[in-house]
Amino acid sequence: MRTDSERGDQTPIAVRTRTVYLAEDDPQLRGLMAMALRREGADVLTFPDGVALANQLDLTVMAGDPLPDLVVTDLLMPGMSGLRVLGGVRRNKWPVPVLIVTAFADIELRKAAKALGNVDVLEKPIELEDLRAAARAAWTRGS
Amino acid sequence: MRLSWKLHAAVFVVTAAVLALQTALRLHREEALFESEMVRDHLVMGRAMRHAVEDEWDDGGEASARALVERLDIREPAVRIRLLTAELPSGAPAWMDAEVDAMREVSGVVWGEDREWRLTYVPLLDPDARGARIEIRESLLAQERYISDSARRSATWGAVLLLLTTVVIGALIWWLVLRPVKELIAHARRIGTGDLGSRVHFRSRDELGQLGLELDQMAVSLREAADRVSAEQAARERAVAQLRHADRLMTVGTLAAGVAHELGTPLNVALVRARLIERGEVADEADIRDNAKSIAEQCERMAGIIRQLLNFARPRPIERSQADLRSIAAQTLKLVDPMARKASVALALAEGAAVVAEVDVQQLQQVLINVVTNAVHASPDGGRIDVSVDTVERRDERAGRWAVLRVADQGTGMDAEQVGHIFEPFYTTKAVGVGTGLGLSVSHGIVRDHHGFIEVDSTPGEGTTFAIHLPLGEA
Repeated sequence: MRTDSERGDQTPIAVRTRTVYLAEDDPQLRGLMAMALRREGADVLTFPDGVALANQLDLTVMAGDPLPDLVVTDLLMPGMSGLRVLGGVRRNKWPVPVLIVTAFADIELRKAAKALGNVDVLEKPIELEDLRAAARAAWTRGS
Repeated sequence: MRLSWKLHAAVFVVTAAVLALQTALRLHREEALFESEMVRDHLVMGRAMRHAVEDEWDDGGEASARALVERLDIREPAVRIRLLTAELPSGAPAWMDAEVDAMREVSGVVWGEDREWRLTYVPLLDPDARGARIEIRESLLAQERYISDSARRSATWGAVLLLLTTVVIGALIWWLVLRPVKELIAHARRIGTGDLGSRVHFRSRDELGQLGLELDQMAVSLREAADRVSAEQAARERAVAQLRHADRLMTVGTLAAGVAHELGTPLNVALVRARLIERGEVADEADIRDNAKSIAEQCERMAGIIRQLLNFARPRPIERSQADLRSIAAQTLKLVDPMARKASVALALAEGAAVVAEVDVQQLQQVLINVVTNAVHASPDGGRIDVSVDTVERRDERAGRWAVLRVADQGTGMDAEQVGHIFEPFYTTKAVGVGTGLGLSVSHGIVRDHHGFIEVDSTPGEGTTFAIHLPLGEA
């Protein structure tokens, strides 16, 4: 962030902190992924399942708060399937980039992801570097 | 043995008849011979005398002729000779008189003085001695006595012969026929009771020997047929076992997909932590130890998941034991959970007490997995499958105490016709490649082997409940 003294009379450019919503049912993995995303300078909100994630999205929209810059989610979680959450996201026309992190990345999933648009699929086991790189790519695409 | 009596009686009767006939013919011939001899004797005697008497009549007249005859009378009590003229009553029957009147010799039998006599008349041919005849009269008593003695002797010897013949032929019949027949009967009975190994003990070249050989052949054929049947039975059992194994492998395949997914997360955690250590991003010794501990835990978790699947997949011989159906259901649902979650279907096991029944655990797991898999495939996105384990007491045609595992889905349901087919092998309403259609038929077979049954309650559009019933022992 550039200081006032350096800026001169230019309007300060605020690099807003990115927000990430992370849904993963395994607590250890959730913690590790959140740690990696925070290293990218993001604020990470974590959720243990799809229902919690969907509820949060609804709340955010109803409150008029800005949507997250990225949603990272597993697919097989108790309650609501990750894909259903995504379906909801797209139905509501929320332009949020999505990263699906799953052990089962078959052809059908990739086709569905493509159809939803702006959805990337990463296969478990995922290296933290790959997660960070994918997040950066999604942010670049988004802005 | 009725045949023995029949044969003996037949031999007896036939031999008796033959002997009797033979004796009768012989006696009749003897009698005829006696008669002809006696007649010849009489005639010879009579004729011989006639010449002398006729000469005498010529010389001395009737009286002297009669005197001559008297002298010639042999005076044996059995034979009397006299001269009869027309004046003396002859006592002969009329027909003989007629013959004599016609100047013919005649001989016949008459009854007199309590016995029979042969009367022979030789008429004198001299015209002077008209009507005179020489009468020779001989008692047939001796002859009769001879005949009756002969008959009696024949009867005695005949009886002896009859007895001997009957005994000898009886013994022959017994040796040649009855003994082998009895043995054939015993042999046939042995074959009838299933003893196909024994063979007939006697060997003879006749029809009975033939029958024995045929019986042996029949036993051999029966044994071959029995062997074929049990071979087919064994083949069928092998085929059933193979089908069940194939189904279990299919199930393992389905489960494996879920297991592979399950492994993804612990694998990921272990990988990430290992990388952290590798890259030196955790410097603190305590942190390194924590990460290492976590890696180990994740590995154990993975091992547990794999072991669960392997336990199910490993072929084991059928082993029935008393087992808690509720805990089997809980374990099985854990195995199927990943697959259910992939289809966005929730599995729920109702709470309750343990239900113990005699089952082969691996087979029951297979049944449950099959039924739950079907329910998952039929369920909509976000649907729920309720599994429960109870006991029930029935009083209908399936009376008794049963353990019931219920799997209820809220899926597409089936109509009555489909329900009728679902336990058929290879029946499937799914697309090609999705399942073999074996699962429910194998499950049906397993439950039936456990002396249980599966009831299906389905409403199209609302859902289906499979109720797996297993017998419980006496309370």
